[in-house]
Amino acid sequence: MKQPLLEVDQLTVTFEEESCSTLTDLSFTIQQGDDILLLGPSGSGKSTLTYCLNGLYPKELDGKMSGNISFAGSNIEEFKSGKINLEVGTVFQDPETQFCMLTVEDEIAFGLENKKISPDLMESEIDRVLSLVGLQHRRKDQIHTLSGGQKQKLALAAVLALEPRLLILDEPTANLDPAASKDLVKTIRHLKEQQDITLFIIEHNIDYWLPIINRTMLLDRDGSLFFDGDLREAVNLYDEEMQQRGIWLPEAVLLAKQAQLAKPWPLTIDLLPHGLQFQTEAPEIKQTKKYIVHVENAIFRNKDKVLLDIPALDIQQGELIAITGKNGSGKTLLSRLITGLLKPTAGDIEFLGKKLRRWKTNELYQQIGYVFQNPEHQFLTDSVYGELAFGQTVSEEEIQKSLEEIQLADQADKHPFTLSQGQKRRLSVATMLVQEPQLLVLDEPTFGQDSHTTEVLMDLIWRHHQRGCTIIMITHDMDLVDRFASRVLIVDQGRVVEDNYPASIWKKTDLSDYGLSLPAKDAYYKRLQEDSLYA
Amino acid sequence: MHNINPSIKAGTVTLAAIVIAFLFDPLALLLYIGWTIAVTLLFGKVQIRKYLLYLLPFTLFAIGMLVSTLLFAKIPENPSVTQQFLFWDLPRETVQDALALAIRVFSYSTLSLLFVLTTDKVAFILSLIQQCRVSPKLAYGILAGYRFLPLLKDELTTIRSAHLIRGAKTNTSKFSRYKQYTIPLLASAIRKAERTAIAMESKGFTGERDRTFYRTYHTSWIDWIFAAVMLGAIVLCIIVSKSFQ
Repeated sequence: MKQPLLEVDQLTVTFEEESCSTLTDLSFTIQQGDDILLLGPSGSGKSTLTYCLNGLYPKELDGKMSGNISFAGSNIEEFKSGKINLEVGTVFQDPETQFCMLTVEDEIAFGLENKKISPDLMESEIDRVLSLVGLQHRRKDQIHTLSGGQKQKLALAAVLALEPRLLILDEPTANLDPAASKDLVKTIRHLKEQQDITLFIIEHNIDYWLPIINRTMLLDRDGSLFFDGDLREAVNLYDEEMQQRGIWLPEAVLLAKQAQLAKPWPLTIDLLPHGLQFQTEAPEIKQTKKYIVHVENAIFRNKDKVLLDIPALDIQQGELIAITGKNGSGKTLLSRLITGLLKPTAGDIEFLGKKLRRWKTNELYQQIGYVFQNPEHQFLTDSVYGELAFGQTVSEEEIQKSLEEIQLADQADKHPFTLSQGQKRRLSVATMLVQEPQLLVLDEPTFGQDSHTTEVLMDLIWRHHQRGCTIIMITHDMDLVDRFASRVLIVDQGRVVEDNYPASIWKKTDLSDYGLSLPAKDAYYKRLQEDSLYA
Repeated sequence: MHNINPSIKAGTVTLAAIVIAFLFDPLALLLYIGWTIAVTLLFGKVQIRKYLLYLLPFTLFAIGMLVSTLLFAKIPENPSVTQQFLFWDLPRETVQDALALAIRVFSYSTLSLLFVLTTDKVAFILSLIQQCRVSPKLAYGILAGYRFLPLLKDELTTIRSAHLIRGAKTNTSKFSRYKQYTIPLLASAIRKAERTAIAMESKGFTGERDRTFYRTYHTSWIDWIFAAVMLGAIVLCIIVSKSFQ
C-alpha cells in the first residue's frame, strides 16, 4: 500500500477557556488524489482542524493539543518552521484579509520569496499561477480594485505558487455571491485537470462542490468524526442526523425529502426521477394598498458615477420583499436609502407618507429596524441581555421571551462578541425586533449560516411579518425567496431591472444574467421540461 | 529622483534636516529651500499644481509660527536696534529669530515633500529590509497594516449607521460617541489582523531574514552622489549667503 499523504492520529484540541474539547479523538488519513469535503455544524472545529493540518497549531494555540499529524511519513512538528506551509496550502474564507501586499504580482511574489525561489524564476512562476486562475490580465493591478471573486482567485493563485501537494479550502465561497462561487469552483476543476493536487474542502454550500469531491467527512458537534465515506451514502444513511446538527443537505436531497421519495436519494437534481409532487404553499399576499415606502426619482451619485437610479418604487405595508442581484449591484445601497441611513443625491423618499428628511431621527428608527451584514457592528452593550434591553421600554418578561425565541436564554450574561457566528446573527436580528418596528430591513441575514440558525431566523422574521411588519430582505438564496417572499426586486448596475412575484420571475426571467440561479424546485421543473423537449 | 535608493534618500533627508537645525542664517536657509524645491520639481516629475497644494498647509503653519514668534518674543537685549518689517518697526533680534524659525519650519516641509512625493511606500519598506536590516516581520506587518486603513474608514461609517439605527444617543459629546465606536472597531481590527497574520504564515512566512526578493534594491554611485550633492548644497548656500553680507 502506498504511503498516505497525510495521517491524523487521535487528534484532540482543547482551547484554554473551554471546558470541552473542540476536536475530539480525530483519526483519518488522506491519500494522494483524494478530494475531500468536510461538513460539520458551526462550532464543530472545522477551522481549528485546518490550523492543525497546516502546522499553525500548536505553535499559535492557546490551549492543549494531543495526538499526531504526519505528512508524507514524517511528523509535521519535525518540519522546519514555514516548511509545512509549502506542502499544505490554505485558502481562507475572507478574501479581504489574506493579503499583505498592494499589487497582484507582489502578493504572488511574497509566497515565492518565502519559498526562497531565485528572483530570476519568479516572473515565469507568477505568469504560470495567474493563468491557472485566469487573472493574467490583472497582473500589475492594485489588489483593492479586484472584485471579491477575483480576490479569492488571487488568494488561490498565491497559495498555488508554493506548489503545495495538499490544498485546503476553508469556506472559500463564504463571502462570494453565487456567480462568483460557481466561477471559483470552475477554476478549481480546471486546476484539477492541470495538475495532481489533493483537495480538502470545508464548505456548507455542498451543491457547488458535487462535481469535484470523491469523499465526504462529517464532524459531530463535539468535533469527533461521525462519518467518512461517500456523500451519497451519508445523505441516505444520516439525513436526519445531519439536519439535526444544522448541516445543509444537497438541494436534490431536500427536494426528494419534501416529495417523500423513497431512498436511495440522488445528489443532483438531474438524477431525480420524473413526476415528483411538492406541496407548494404560495405565501398569501396581503393587499393593504397603504404605502409604507414611496421612492420618486431617487439618484445616488458618488463623484460623477451614478450608483443607483430609482425612477419610482412603492412598497406596500405588509409585503415581504426580497432584493437580489450580483454583489456590488446596489442592493445594500438601495436598502440604506429607503431607511434614510444614506441620503439620495437627488429625489425624494417618503416613509409612511412623510418625507424621510422631515422625520426626527429617533422617531424614525423606532419604526424602522435594519440588520447589518456584520452583526458585531450593532452591539452596544456588554451582555446579551443588555443588548435586548437597550433603549427599550418593554418589560422583563418580554425580553426573557425574546431570549428564548432566539435560543440564547442560557447565554444572557455573556458578552455579545463571545457568541458563535450563528448566535450573534440571531441576537442582532432580535435586537431590532423587540421594539416591533413597522419596517424591518435585513442585509443577507442567512448568508453563511447553518440550516439550524436559518430556520430559527426565518421563523422569527415570519412571525413578525404575520404581525404586520413589512420586511425587506437582501439575499442570494433563491429557495428562501421562493418560500417566503411576496415580491422580488432584482437590482443590476444600480437599477431595479425586475419587479414581480417570485413565481413569474422563475418563469420569465433568465436569472443567469444576474448571476443567480433558480430555486431547486423550479430547476427540477425546468429540467423536466427540457427532458420532454429532447425525448 | 524616483530611482534613488529609498533608504539613502531617507538618510540624506534626515541628515540635511539635522544640519539645518544648527543653521540660523535666514538667507542661507531660503537658498536651500529654493534648491530643494528646484530638485523636487526638476528631477522628481512632480506636477507644480499638486506640489503647491501639498505645500499650502505647511506654508500656513510657517506663517503662523512667524506671527506667534513676533508677538510672543522674549524681551530683546537691544530694543533700540529696530528694523522695518512690513509696516512695523520691530526689534531686529526679534525679527531675525522669528524669520529663522519660520523659514526653518518651511525648509523641513520642502525636505519631507521631496521624500514623500518621489518615493513609493512599498519600495521604501522593502529597501529598509534590504539595506537597513529592518526585520521582515516588522516591515511586512507595516505593509499589511497599510492595506487596512481604507477598510477601517468604511467600517467606521457602517458602525456609525448601525448605532444610529439602534437608537444610540447621537447628541452626546463627540468624545463619548467615539468611545462607543472604538470597541467594535478595535474588535474587528484585531480579528482582521489575526486573519492576515495567519494567511501570511500559511504562505510560509516566518519573519526570518533569510528570504529572496522579487524586487531588489541596490545602492549605486548615483545614490551617493545624490546624498553628497544634497548635503554639499547646504555648505554652498552658507558660503553664498556669507558673500552677500
